[in-house]
This record gives sequence, structure tokens and C-alpha cells, in this order.
Amino acid sequence: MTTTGKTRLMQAAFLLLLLGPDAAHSQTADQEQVGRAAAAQILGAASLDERAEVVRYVNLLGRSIAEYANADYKWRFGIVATDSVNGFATPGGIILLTRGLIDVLANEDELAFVLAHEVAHVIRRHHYSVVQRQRLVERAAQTLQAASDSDVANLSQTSGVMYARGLDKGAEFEADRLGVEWVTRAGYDPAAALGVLEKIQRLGAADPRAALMFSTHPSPNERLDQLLRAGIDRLPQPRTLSNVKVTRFAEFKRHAVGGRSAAQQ
Amino acid sequence: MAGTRIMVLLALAGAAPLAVVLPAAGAHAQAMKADTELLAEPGGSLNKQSIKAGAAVQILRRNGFWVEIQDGSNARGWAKAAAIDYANTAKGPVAIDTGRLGSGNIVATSAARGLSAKELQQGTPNFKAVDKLDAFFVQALPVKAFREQAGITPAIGNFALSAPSPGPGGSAPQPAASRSQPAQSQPSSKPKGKKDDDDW
Repeated sequence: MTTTGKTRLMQAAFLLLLLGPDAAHSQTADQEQVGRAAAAQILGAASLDERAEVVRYVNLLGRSIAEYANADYKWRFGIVATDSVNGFATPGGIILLTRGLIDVLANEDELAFVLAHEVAHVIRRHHYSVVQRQRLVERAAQTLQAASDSDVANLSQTSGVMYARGLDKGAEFEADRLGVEWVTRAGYDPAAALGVLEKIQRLGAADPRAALMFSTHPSPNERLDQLLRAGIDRLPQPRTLSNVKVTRFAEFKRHAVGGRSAAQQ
Repeated sequence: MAGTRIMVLLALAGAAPLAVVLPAAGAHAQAMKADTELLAEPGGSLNKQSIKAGAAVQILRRNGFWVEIQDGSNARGWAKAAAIDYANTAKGPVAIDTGRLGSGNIVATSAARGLSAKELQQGTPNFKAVDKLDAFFVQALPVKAFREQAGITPAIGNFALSAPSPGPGGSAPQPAASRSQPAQSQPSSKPKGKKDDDDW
């Protein structure tokens, strides 16, 4: 970026700060608006699974984990019908996981970690910050034109680019650490995080189902390394095995994957 | 009949997180971070075999935070997962792949269709589907019942993980972990003959 560009960006940021109440008023509403546009873009590429057996379970588990993150969002969790192995967190609390990702998971603890990782992206505003930065750049380029509804129209497209490019590594590592913390507090096994990352590593970047995941995230082995160096192995694991957990996850997976399981756990 | 169904479901669900040893990642060899004495079982006693720092090892399987590993001279045993340098693929002789490794566990389907970056960017937004998502929101009461149904007990303590310091081998602040029930494979439960945690 040129010096002129940087100056414009700073001017835009300063003016947005001056807007104060307006900008603050709708931080929550704006996150929801941005999130809906982002979710719409994803759901334009892969259809939403609306079956009650799938929807109910993933929302109960997701909300159960999100409660330990102590953040007030309207959490909605969905499964999208694609063989890709991926998860998408959108600002405002909409989280979408792919059927392909469900297919590789072995148990409720692993799904809990995946959901917690995505919840962390929402709470730390990883994607929202990217959108905000993009808006500043665009407004600076438009000589500080006021935001309008046309901004909303562009959000979906911006979101598509954002999810295709991914976040920086630091955001992914942070989401892993927070996810592990919350699943541990919720009573799930923190070691499940290692299981998830191992499975994605095994798929490999050459597998078309995991290609986007590998291109937008640090390698699973690097994430494993980060978690181990952060001290994940000092965290307590639950002692008891719940048959209810095993059974209800198996039922959910059977419905979500629809008899097309490609993973033999 | 119901019993059979439960057995089938258990099989479908695969390994339970605590009781069953999972196959670990690893078609590629990883290196040991430090000289490591191997254990006969996770958290068990020394098995009189060791692997040198930097040696290439195959990870045969994992159980919680422990991995069973084997090097090129067929030294084999259990070590803490943290003893493995996951971030870098090792070069050097490793144990022959006996087929027990996890690399073949997931079978790619020929009809697999991925969600590409192009589709994400060029798709037409579907706001009607987003409206349907709003109906998925669940209230707090059923969430509480969901937890209780499975007997899930929240853990009490500070489990925050700090970002590790940059560079290999950087030490990280340790969480002050505790749980209302004692953990199964806590590294702190040091067995007789086992080395101190700091030695790993």
C-alpha cells in the first residue's frame, strides 16, 4: 500500500471512530448482518441439511459447548451437503460444518472440539475483523463515501473471497487453543483435538475433499505441535465413558452422512 | 434386538475417547525432540528401549496424550505425544510399514465432490437458507438436559492454554488444571521406574 493509501486508511479509521454511537450501536447487529451474508454465500455453494435428527443434535451440542465460552450470541449450527472436509464460522453466531467433516469424526468429543474451534472464531471476531478491514480499505478508496445498503450487497462476495483465502495462522492456532479450553471445561476430552487433526492430516492436501482446508489452514501437524507445546497434555481427561454419548453421535452421523460413510474409524 | 442395535451403533461410532487406542496420524515419519526412554504402556514402566533425539519414528497409534512409536532399529514403545516433533517431517530410516499405520483408514470415494474456492466465491447467495437456520436455535433448558442425559460433568479449573513461544522446543506456560474427577492418563501420575516429566 502506498503512503497515500495508508493515510487515507487512517483517515477513514479516524472518521469511523468519530461516528461513535452509530458504529457501536450496531456492532452486534452488524456482525449478524455480515454473518448472514457470509452464510448465504456458503449456502449458495452447498445446500443446508434441514433434517430434524441432524439439526437438533448439532445445535444442542454446539450450544452446550458455546455456553462455556461466556459470550452472548444467537448460536445456530448447520450441516451442509458437500463431501468437502471443512467448517465455517460466520460473524454473529452461524456455524456451518460440512458433511465430509462429520464423516471423518469418530465421536462426540471430536465434534465438540470442531464446534468449539468455530465458536472461537466467532467470539474472537476473526472473520469480522477481516471484513471490517476490507470495508475500511474500500471506503478509503471511495474517498470516504458513507456506507450504504450496497455495502450489504457486497458482503456476500467479500465473504466468499475471505473463506477461500482463509485466516492467518495465528487466528487458527488461537481458535484451537480456545476450543480445547472450552471442551475441557464442558467435560469433554481435550485429546479429541489431536484425533481431529490426525484425521485431517491423514487425508492429506492431495485429497480433493480436504484441498480447501489445507490451503486455508496451517497444516494439521503444525496445529498438533502448537497444541502440545501449549500444554494440552496437562489438561484433565474425563474418566468415565458415556454410552449415551456414543450412541447419539452414531445416530447423528448415520443421518448426517446418509449412509455414504467414507471413513472407517 | 435392542442390545444388538447398541452394539452396532458402538461399532459405527468407532473408538471411545478413553478406552480404545486410536490409530494415529502418520504415513510420514516424525522426529523425536529429545532422547526418549520408551514405556511398556501409556504411563507404564520403562521397557528398556530408547530412541535418540532427531531419530525418525513412525507413530503406530495414540491413546490420549501418549503415542506408540517405532524407529528404524525396531525400538518400540510408548512415549508422550509431546516428545514428537509433529511440525517437521523427519528424514531417515524408520520401521517398515506393517499396515497398522493410520494412513489407509480413510478411503477416498471416487464420487467425492469438494467445495472449491471458486464455488465459494462465485456462488449465488442463498438468503432463504439462512432464514431457515434461525429456526435451529435451541433454548438453554434442552441443552442442560442434553448434557445431563450423557452424564457429562463440567470440569472446574483454569484450562487456558497460552500461545507457545516461537521456535522449536519453546516452553509454554502450563495451565493449572484440575477436574472434579481425577484424570485417567494424567502425566502427573508418575509410575514406578518412570522418568520425571521434565526428562521428556
